[in-house]
Amino acid sequence: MAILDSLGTSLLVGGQASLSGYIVERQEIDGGEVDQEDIMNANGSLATRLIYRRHPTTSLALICAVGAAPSTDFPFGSKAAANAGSYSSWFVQDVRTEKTKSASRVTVTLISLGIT
Amino acid sequence: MQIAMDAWFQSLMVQPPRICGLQIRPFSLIHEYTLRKLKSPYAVGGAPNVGDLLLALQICARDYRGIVRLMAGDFKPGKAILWAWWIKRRYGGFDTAQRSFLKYMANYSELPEHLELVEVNGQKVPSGVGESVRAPWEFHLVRTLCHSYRMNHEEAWNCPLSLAKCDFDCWSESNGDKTLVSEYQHGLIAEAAGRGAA
Repeated sequence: MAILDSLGTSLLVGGQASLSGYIVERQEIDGGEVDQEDIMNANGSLATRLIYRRHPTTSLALICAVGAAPSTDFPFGSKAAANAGSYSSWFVQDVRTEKTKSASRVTVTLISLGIT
Repeated sequence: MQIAMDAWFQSLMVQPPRICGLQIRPFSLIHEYTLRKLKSPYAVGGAPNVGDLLLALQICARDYRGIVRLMAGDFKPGKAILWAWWIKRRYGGFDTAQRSFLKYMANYSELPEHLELVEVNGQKVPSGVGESVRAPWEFHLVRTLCHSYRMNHEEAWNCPLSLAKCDFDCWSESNGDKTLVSEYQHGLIAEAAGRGAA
C-alpha cells in the first residue's frame, strides 16, 4: 500500500500540507483496468470498438486528529506530491468531510489522469 | 471486571436508580416525550427548579399508563409540597437529587454515534436535521419498535430511550443507512484523540 506507507511522510497534497494529523481508516483502489465499448452501425454489425483504460482512482478514508483541517489540507483539484513512489501525478477529485459528536472523518478520492 | 461501555452495551446494561427514595423506571420514550411536551428544562434546556425536579421524578417513576393517569390529574400539589419537605429533611436537599436525576438521564441518553456529511469539495452541506420527518421523532421510534420488533404500542412507549435508539439504528442500517460509527472507527477516533493530547 504505497499511499498508506507514504502518507504523512512522503505523500503531500495541496500546497505541501503535512498529513500527519490523520489516521488512515482504509484505502480503496479502483480503476486502471482496460475496458471496451462496441459501437454498432445501422445494420447492427460492429462499426467501431473502443478500447480504453479507466483512470485509476484511490479513495482514502481518514480520521482527523486534533488540529487537522481537511478543507485546506485537501483542496479540490489540487495535486498530490510524493517525494518517493508513483503518486506525484495524482489529483484530488473528491473530498467529503463527515462529523460525529467526537470526531471528523474525511474521504479523499485521488485520480491519476496520466498528466503531470 | 472492567468492561468497555459503548452506547450499544450500555443500552442493555444500564439500570435505573432510586432517587429520593423513589424507584425510577428506565428513562423511556414516554418519559422523554412527556417532559418535552411539558417544556421541562430536563428535556428542552434551562435551569430546573424544585418543581421541575418533583414533576420529572413523578413522571419517570411511572410507566405509560401511570403517566396517562398523572396527566389526567393524579398529581396532588399538596402531596408534592409534603414530599419536597421530606426530601430536604431525609436526602440532604435538592442539589443531590438533581445530580442523581441528571446522571440517570445521561445514562439513558448515551446513543450510537453517526457520521453526518458536512462538506463536499469545499462546499458546506446544509444539515438535514429536522427536515426529513414531521411527526415527533419518538413516534417514529415507536412505529419501528412496533412494526419491526413486534412490540405492542404500550411496550414501545415504555422502551428505554437508548435501547429504542439502538434498535432503530440497527433497523436503519439493515435498510441501507451507512452513517453509524463502527467499533473499528471508534478505536481510530480514540487513537486520534490520544494523538491530539500527546
